[in-house]
Amino acid sequence: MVESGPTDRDELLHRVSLGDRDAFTALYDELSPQVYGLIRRVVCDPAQSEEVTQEVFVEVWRIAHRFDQARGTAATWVLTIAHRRAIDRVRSEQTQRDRVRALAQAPLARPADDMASSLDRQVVRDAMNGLTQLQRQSIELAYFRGLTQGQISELLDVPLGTIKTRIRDGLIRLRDALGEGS
Amino acid sequence: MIRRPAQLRICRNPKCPQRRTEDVAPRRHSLDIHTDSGGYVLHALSQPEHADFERHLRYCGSCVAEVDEFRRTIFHLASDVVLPPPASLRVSVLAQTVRRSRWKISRLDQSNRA
Repeated sequence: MVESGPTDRDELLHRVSLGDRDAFTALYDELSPQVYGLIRRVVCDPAQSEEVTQEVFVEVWRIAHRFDQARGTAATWVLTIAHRRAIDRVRSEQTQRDRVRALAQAPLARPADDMASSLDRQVVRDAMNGLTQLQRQSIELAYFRGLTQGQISELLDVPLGTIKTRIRDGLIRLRDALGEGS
Repeated sequence: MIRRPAQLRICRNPKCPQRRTEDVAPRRHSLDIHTDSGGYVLHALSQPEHADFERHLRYCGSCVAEVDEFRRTIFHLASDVVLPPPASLRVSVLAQTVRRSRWKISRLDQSNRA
């Protein structure tokens, strides 16, 4: 994957908002590996992951004008949509109880190892390893498995208030480790 | 283990933005609503919590800033699971935009004629 500065993608997304299909194609080529990779990780099933990826890009095409550059990069904006769509899909898929029960037995999948990312992956992993076990587990169960805080509380048998603060504290620690504070 | 539901209490913080701008009477909300910023960004709130937090975001600048920072942060987690989609998907996604832009144009034509 060719590295590209965030401003290029912001510019592409701006052109998409004006109905520029070439810009949309370029944006798809830039971001689809990240979008599909994330959706596949959450949704698992390849056919459903493709459907969700398609929904995401159609939504991007439709609402690109809502992107606010002051609040983050184009890639962050698109990935936020992708994650929400993936979560919606897994929540509509199964009853919550089934899911919690199945996940209690399933090991966590490992990330893909074959592509470069915007930040050195080792830096991201070191930052994750810098979290307490409960922080890390809660964030992974929420982000990659699509569990709600309530489900995580049930699964790990830890009070809901504790899960909430651990998730937030964990994200604060990650934010500082990855230099995303303002 | 006995677990109590999150308590809703009357907020007595005179600086609480919700209390000041949303209601004349002191606002009833969970005093811990700020801690939901993490769950919100991870899409891990229940529907009522999500709605409450979105309402809270309209008034709480520090939570808005935190949400933006957290989104940039978890973006890096997503960078770790990159996987190129099948080429067939590209074709169907791009076809959708053609259909939709034609639809837009035909709607515009109709409204011009009307």
